[in-house]
Amino acid sequence: MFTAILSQLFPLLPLALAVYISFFILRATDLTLDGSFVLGAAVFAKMLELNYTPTIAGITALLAGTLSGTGVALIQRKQKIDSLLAGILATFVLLSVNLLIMGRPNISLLTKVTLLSNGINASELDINILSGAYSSILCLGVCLILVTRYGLLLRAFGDNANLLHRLGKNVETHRICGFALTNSLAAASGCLTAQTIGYADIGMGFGLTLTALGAVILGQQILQKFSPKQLLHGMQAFSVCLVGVAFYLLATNGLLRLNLSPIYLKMILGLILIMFLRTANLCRKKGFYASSTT
Amino acid sequence: MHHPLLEIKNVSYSVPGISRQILSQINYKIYPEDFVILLGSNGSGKSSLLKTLDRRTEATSGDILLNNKKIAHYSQKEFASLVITLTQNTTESLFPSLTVLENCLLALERLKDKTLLKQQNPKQFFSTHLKQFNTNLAHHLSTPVSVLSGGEQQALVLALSMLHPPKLLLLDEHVSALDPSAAEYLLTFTAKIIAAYKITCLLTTHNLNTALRFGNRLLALNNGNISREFNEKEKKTLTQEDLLKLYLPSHII
Repeated sequence: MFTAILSQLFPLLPLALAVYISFFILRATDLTLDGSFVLGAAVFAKMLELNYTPTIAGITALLAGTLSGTGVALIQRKQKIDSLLAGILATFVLLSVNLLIMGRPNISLLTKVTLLSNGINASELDINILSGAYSSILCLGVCLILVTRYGLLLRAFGDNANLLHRLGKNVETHRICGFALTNSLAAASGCLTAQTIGYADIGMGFGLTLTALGAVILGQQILQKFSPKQLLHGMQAFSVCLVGVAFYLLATNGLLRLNLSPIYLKMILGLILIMFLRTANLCRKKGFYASSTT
Repeated sequence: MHHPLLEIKNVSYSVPGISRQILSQINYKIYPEDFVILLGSNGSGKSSLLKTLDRRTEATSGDILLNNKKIAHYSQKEFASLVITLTQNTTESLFPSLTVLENCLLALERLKDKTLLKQQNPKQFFSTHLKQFNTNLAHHLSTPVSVLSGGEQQALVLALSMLHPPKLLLLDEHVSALDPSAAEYLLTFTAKIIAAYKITCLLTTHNLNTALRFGNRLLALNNGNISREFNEKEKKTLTQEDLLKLYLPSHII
């Protein structure tokens, strides 16, 4: 069970960070992450199929995520369309785009040389170590950005975009940068997931943003309970995601171990998510978010 | 004669679809270092006028010139360094969930000259600056702004705008949400700051006492029209009764 959790944890970490940034820093309900997750996987798989090297395929996947983030930011430009609606629309469009890229609903990567394995006889441990390395480096890098002046501007954008505009900053640039960042993280997540499970599938992103949101909120609650001291902002983001995803996976794997019929899985997880979101809402009323974003 | 800093030429404003004219044909000139009091009852158009001046809304017709250049022709960055508005709603002028220090750092983004951004010791620099406005603020650099009291928030907004004093400061009843003693303190303090930094200022109020005590010129607005103007000499001899007459709707007098 432990290796199973590890093999799911690292690929999901960038997605969790993307959700953390878009929900708690940009304060936007960005459901595009679902679509960008698949986009990352699709582009990576297609590029390998076209015989590009895994590195180039990985970079292209990240760039594709950046593009879809830019797209969804442009849909919302000047607040003409609400971020939630823009995200749903973008996911809608991405469904076709992803099918177009892959040419069919799924592509197998099992026999391919990827960033994580050299083909058929790769050990599971190697895959986990490599995916852990890639995902940690990526996430820590992004967390480092969050503590810079640029990260401060992103948080300012989420907090009061109107004021940022009045300070003479171009709000749309920050919107695009923020969404490009989160969506490329989601694409990275999709890319790593496809390599771990051995295929890219058109339906692999379904509901993942909500799942990651649940995990992040769970992580936030746990960290708040056990570490009263405020961590540095960037480190806080990273640890919230790590703890949240780990606990979430423990819960789901535990449920499956209990011989629970998979039919009930989504329903029970959904109910658990509702519970988390409700407790988070209570905390919001108590001013928790005001202090958690510092 | 000086050159006017701000020139309002035939400015009208109305909301599309609503026949009522919110501002009609306003003409006025504000000269450097003027402190103009804009007096008017609720709905007289005070706030709408200020909103057209700081580009939050666009006048339906007419021109507004700042330093002889139409305000619409300034880039957002240039305009931000010249004009600042303080309203009673501090959450508009602050980043509520960020700390005092982070708000200070962001306020510096308004500057064209970025040398201030490269402070050797930003904490020291900001706490010295904030101390002049409110001693409490200097000790709360890492406190989220939303936790501060209304008076502290308003003092912070003022302090932030003085990191780089604007040419034109628009005060839209910025103290009216505070309790009387805090309001009195902040208003007197604002007047001191304006004089010290030689800032041109336009203050809206519906308080007669405030209108009499502050400013060198007075402008009374009624139903979107300028009903009376007083220059420096005339304003000095004004009494509360004179103002009360202006204030009441014309049909009562």
